[in-house]
Amino acid sequence: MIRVIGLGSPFGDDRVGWRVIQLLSGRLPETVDLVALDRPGSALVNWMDGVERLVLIDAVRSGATPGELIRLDPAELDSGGARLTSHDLALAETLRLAAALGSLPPLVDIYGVEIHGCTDQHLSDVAEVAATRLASILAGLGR
Amino acid sequence: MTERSVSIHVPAMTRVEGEGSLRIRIENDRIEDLALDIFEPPRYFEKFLEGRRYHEVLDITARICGICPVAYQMSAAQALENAFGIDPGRWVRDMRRVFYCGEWLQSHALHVHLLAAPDFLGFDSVVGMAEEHPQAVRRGLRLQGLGNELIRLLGGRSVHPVGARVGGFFRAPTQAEVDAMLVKLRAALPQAEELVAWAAALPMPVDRQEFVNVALRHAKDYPLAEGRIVSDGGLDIPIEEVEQHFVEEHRPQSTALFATLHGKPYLVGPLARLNLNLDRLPASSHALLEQSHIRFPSDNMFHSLFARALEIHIAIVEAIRLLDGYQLPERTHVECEPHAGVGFGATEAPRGILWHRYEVDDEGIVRSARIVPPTSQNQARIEADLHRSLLNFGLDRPDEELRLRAETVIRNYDPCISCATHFLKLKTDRR
Repeated sequence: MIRVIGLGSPFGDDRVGWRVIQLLSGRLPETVDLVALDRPGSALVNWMDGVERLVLIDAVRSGATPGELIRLDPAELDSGGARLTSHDLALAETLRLAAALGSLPPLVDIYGVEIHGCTDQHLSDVAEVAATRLASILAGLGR
Repeated sequence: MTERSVSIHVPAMTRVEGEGSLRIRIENDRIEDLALDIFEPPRYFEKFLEGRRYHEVLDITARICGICPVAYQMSAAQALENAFGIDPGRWVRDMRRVFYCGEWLQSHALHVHLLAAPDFLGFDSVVGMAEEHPQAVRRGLRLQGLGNELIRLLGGRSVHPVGARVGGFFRAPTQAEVDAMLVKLRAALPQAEELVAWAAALPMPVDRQEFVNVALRHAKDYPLAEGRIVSDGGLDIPIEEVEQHFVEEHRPQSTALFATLHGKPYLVGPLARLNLNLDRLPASSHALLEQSHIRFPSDNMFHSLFARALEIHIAIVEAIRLLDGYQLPERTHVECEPHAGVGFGATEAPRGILWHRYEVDDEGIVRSARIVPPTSQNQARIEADLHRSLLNFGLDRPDEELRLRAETVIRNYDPCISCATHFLKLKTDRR
């Protein structure tokens, strides 16, 4: 099974991962499972059982230009350079935990969407454009 | 004797929620100075709340902590209802208890399995522990996930939930949602039983200490969302009288307040709750306690982990009891008619008593707020514990071993200070 998970929170551009899931909804074969999660922390591991390919989407602030798409692999997160979440276990730690448990799917893709901040309750135009671009990149999944 | 001065900075004590530092000065094998400095955000929130309308308070206080937002909402709701003189009724009180069970479940499951257990099994993180104890870690993650689902049932979402309001809830779960949740809760019960036995068998240091236990006490149930405040020193007061017995004071080394009861440190949290409420356990939880070799009341602080494990069982048993026979209510909340007054609220957050006091005016606008969180109440107790634990452990041990023991002692209290990721900077100064 392929599972795409949008990580986020209801605060401004931090919800960009959820927006991508919304945009993909109804456009992918049924073999692709779409999930939006609110800061799951370590409980993300519970969503990995039986998954062959996992696609994670989250907002990041790495200093790149807002709207830029950043592709990371789990090994890259190990460097400690990119922390995608700020609560519970960070994403890198959660993926290491999943690997130790033997739950990490064989294929893991992580897409970061660079955001400016999350001061507003609404998604910014820049994040909306980035979400649309990422949704079209992922639209071929499962085919 | 040779004089030496060592200074270490340890910026990565990661398995605690919050930020802080520990400074120890050792002279001639004696602890001359020991100071735990914890950064604590509720103080600022007290000011943020002034001038806000009463119905905004739950959303604002929920943001004090990402791990225990339900506790903040439930203490605040109780305090404001107290100020307005309204009783939300049986359905609301029962559902609040269920809501709270979800928070205990997720918070305790996270702490027991992912944060504390590695200390007792000899791993420096849950990642190392997961390779040798995958079943235990998986159980922790499943129970944590179940707790989040239970919070979502009533709160709409599990982080900073939005379902609660002063007077009750915005919506009632449907019968189908409750039925589905009951199936999951019943399926989790054997895991919780297994967990209690596992926690009892963990290798725990034997470290008996003298301390005062303080917890809520309810007329018939294990304390959660309401009760009087009691201690094993004979205290038994309504929550309105807290300020006459408990004092919070600033100390120069810390931004947090140190609370004392009649001038002395005291303990709040799972171990204190269990020690003071053994006769309020659900029958099946009591049977599990009897089967363990651990006797309560216990004066071994490290039995906190066992108390948390047992409270996971209690939370599941209580949620099942309250949801079984669920009926849709006629109304999900009682309307508020704001008027000027002072109100008090106290509930048992996963880490201990969370006490709120609000003064509101005729328009329902908050004029003053006071929030006493569990971690500031435990701070003086943690320092006292560190002092004697490190002495018992042996001050001549290498700094690295001292640091690890200090971390284990602090982590055992599950201090929840803020939503930062790193906790302890240790500075030892030996002369």
